[in-house]
Amino acid sequence: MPRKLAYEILKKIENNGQYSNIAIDSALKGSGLEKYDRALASTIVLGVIERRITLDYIIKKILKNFDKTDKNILIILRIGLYQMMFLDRIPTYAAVNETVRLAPKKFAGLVNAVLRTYERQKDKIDYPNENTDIYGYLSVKYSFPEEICHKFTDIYGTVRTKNIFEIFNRPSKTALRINTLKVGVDEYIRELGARNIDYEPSGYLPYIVMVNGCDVESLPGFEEGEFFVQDTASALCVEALGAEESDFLIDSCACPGSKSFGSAILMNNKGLIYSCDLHQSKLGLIDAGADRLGIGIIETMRKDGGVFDISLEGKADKVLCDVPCSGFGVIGKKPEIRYKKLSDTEKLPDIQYRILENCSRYVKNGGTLVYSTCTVIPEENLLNIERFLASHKDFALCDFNAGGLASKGGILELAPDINDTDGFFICKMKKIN
Amino acid sequence: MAKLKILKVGDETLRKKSRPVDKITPRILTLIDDMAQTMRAANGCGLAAPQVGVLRRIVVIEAEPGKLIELINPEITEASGERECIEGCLSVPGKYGLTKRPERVVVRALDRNGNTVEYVGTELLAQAFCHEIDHLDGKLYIDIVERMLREDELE
Repeated sequence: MPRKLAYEILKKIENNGQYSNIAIDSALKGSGLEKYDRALASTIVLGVIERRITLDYIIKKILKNFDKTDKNILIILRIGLYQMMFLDRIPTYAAVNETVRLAPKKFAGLVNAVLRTYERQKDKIDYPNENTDIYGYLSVKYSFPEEICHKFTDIYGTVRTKNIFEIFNRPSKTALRINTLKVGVDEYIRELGARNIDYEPSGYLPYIVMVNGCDVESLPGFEEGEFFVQDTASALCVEALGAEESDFLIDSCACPGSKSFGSAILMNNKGLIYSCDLHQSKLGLIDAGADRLGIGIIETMRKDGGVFDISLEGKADKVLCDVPCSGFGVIGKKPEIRYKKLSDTEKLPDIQYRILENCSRYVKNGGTLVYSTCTVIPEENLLNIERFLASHKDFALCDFNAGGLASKGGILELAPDINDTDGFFICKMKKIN
Repeated sequence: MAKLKILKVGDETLRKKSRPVDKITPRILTLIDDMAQTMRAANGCGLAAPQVGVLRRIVVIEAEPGKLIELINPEITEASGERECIEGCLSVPGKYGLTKRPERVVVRALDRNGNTVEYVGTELLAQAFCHEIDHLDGKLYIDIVERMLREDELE
């Protein structure tokens, strides 16, 4: 049954372009499956998305007319092959038999043949050679499009790129930000212990704990608003912003709201936060989250970060521009991001710059401006900052410390291989008279 | 509905200027309801949003039991006369002082439906209007008090 469910979810994602996390959530909730089966279904879905390039490379080696094969049969082949290659705890015969059953009768033989051929010949498959075709090698080994391999190698070099890809492909943990408005850190950790839930500290911030799995609604204190989901990198960004009691803060691209929530907690729920976003439909999530967390100082409003609102000019103590980005730092959590085409991300730097430039006008003299992204592409990060500072002499970089990490001249770049967080870019600036 | 925590004198938030409400959202209405509940639970006759930590120009007043007045973006448009008042504040618990306030004021504000409303207040209501609207600009009655009352003067 879990494979059948995985198959249905993958069909939805493939054919309707649904996001993996949304498709998984909605399908699992109504499935009636046991906890173990739900976990297996979601592992298979995420794994097949994550390893698609590797899986297809092998399927193409075995199946001559790959391009003419029915899309749904390819999904079934990927599900089977994924289990055989990456899920050690599933015996091969089980993976093959259970997968063959997913196929319509007339294709059962084909699926069976491809999977068994792989089992027989797996040591003879020739992969791209690391020395003569490094991008092809990285692409097939880690399942990243070649242009992304190229881009990451340019930024990090080959050795770090391999490490980062390896980490992106590992099952990611879920980071919880404990809501210290409602519960003490020690007290919440005791609650986790009492329920026999494994956790790890974040290493940087005492109020972040890492847990396995993603079914956060079943964790203790969810209804009571004792935590929300926030990666360490995002929480470090909130620390860099450094909101204080009675500040007026503008979070210009706030959805899904975790940075607004984190700031409200640092502000001890005193002051005022405008949580803005372009999409009205997503603002309801922030309202609901704030209610659950007992935060009263957040007000959501629909606002285009790139369009000037004169009523806010020079008004805010702190402004956060956590701009929309290519997301290449959070591939570990959202595996499909790796398949974005670089050409589709080329317009982002200008959009980001427009938001930064516009929202900088809301900062009062002496106030703080933080620019952040969850990507590692220089055009979206450092180059935008350089462009901004060159034409805005009333802003200066401002060094900061967050969770024991010191920025370099106001800039902190987080990488999965070094910091054990999402890939993230944080830049803090001050408005000077 | 939730009872909110009332901030006490010394908290910086009470000294900040509050921002006008530009759109009356369901969240603003919830805040108003919570403020009314909080005021009643504390036996107060007025409460301003910054007193519960929210820097918004919102006030609730119940100078006469059962007559709840909700004000969004209130402004005093007229003030006349002078009256000596005994004044207290939920953010300055257990203390009272003598102040001078107008005898009569006219207040213009928005109600919860966004309609402009006008109230005329005399005596205690005028005092409450002035006291609460001062909160929205970071002012407390202890800034203008002529003298604080000693405990033996209170009966």
